[in-house]
Amino acid sequence: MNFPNNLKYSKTHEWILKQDDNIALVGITDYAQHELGDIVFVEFEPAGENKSKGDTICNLESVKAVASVYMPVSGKIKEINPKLLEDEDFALVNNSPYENGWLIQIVMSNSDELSELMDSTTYQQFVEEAK
Amino acid sequence: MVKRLPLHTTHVELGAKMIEFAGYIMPVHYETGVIAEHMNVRENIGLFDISHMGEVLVEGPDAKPYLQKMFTNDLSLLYDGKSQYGCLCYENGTTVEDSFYYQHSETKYRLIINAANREKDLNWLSKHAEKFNVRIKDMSNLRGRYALQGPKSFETLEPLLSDSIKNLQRFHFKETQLLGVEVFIAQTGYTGEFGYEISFEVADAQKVWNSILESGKIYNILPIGLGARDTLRLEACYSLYGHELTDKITPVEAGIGFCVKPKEGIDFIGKKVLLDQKENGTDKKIVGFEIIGKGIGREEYKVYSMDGEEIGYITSGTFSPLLKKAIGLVLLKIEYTSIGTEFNIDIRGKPTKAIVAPTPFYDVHKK
Repeated sequence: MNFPNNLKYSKTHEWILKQDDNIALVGITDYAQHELGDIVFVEFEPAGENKSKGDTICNLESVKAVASVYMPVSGKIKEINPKLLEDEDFALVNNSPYENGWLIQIVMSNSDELSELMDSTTYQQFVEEAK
Repeated sequence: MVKRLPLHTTHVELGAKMIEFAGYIMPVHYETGVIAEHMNVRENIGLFDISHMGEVLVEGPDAKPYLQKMFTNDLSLLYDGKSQYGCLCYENGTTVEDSFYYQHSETKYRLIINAANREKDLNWLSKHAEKFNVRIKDMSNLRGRYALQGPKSFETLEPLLSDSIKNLQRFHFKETQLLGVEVFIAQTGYTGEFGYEISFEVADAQKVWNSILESGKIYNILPIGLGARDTLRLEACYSLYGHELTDKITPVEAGIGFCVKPKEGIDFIGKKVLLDQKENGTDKKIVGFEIIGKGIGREEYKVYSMDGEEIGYITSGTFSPLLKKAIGLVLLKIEYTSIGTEFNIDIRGKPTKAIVAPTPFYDVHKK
């Protein structure tokens, strides 16, 4: 299982990558996609809405189950991954959770919230304990 | 306490993700994932460990009349070496259990039952056995069971056996040896695919598993978990107890009236109600559906008519790996059950359009 160093992690298994002062990419972790199994549909909340930390971003439908993905920090949904929204290539979330399978790009309203999230070592320990 | 399968360690070594199901810790999928496993059964072959299921022997001079009193199907159609599907019902016609049973002779039958229902079934069977000269033996912990399903099942199994199964027809079974191991082999399954179910003594579990995987290697055999077992049976529209069949749903309402034969001269528990339902119809029924909009309908999601009236709920729903669309089974008020009827599924508050579809969605036997 993979835990890139350049990301921050939430307890609900989202990752966030700070790209610019207030711009960030959000997706689910390798552990999360592994737990869910084959993802066959993603139902997104519309772009443009302001969200608080913990609000639902989208629902991931795997063959067996459905799981909600939450905002790791507060902000506005700027863009939804077009490879998911338009091309419906949902297997990307399984096959490339940290790169091509990113979910949304956000404009953070308070980037200080990033410091409340886990680094890769802490998240890895968190996952080990959850097993 | 959660029980382990005899081959628990083997499944873990094969990369299985293990979950709890019916009191057992079971593989839900292996490294390949549900979709790849599902497609491998449709295209090649797969091996399922179904040792969690219950196995019961009913023996004695009254075995046949006793089982006819218990099961909804017509046992006079059975002969030695033949199996049949039927339900155990309550007096009010709702369902205790659905089961395949196999006639070794008119004084010996083998029943395969659901793991979650084992205790309830044994109590129900014993309770009604008093007036009959029969013995009921629970073999569940003494025997293991695998299902070998897919177009390459015959080619994989045949070379391992002492006697050929070339002429073994669907719903028939044979007792023979697999590399010296005593096995019970039936041409039955729960996938809508050609294949076999095999039962053996627990001590032989590892040898049977390894031998079949080795023999099937050239056909790209994969071990298959519960996830694909569920998507495969849903494409074939086979009922699953606890979903389509419950103590609130009769077999006729579940859409499996074919295994209810309330004929003259046959008397089984629940006959009166089930005969009435077959002759006069029911006010609700389970049918297949496809989603037209986006999303997946899951078990217990409520469904509404286009006018907004609540008309039923989903009993099982999934994404079909073969058809690449969301399908399922839904219990509907009878006036909404004809093919082509549109209705809405409440998916997390969003009405999502679906349509009553012809069933099964797939079954190699009905092509």
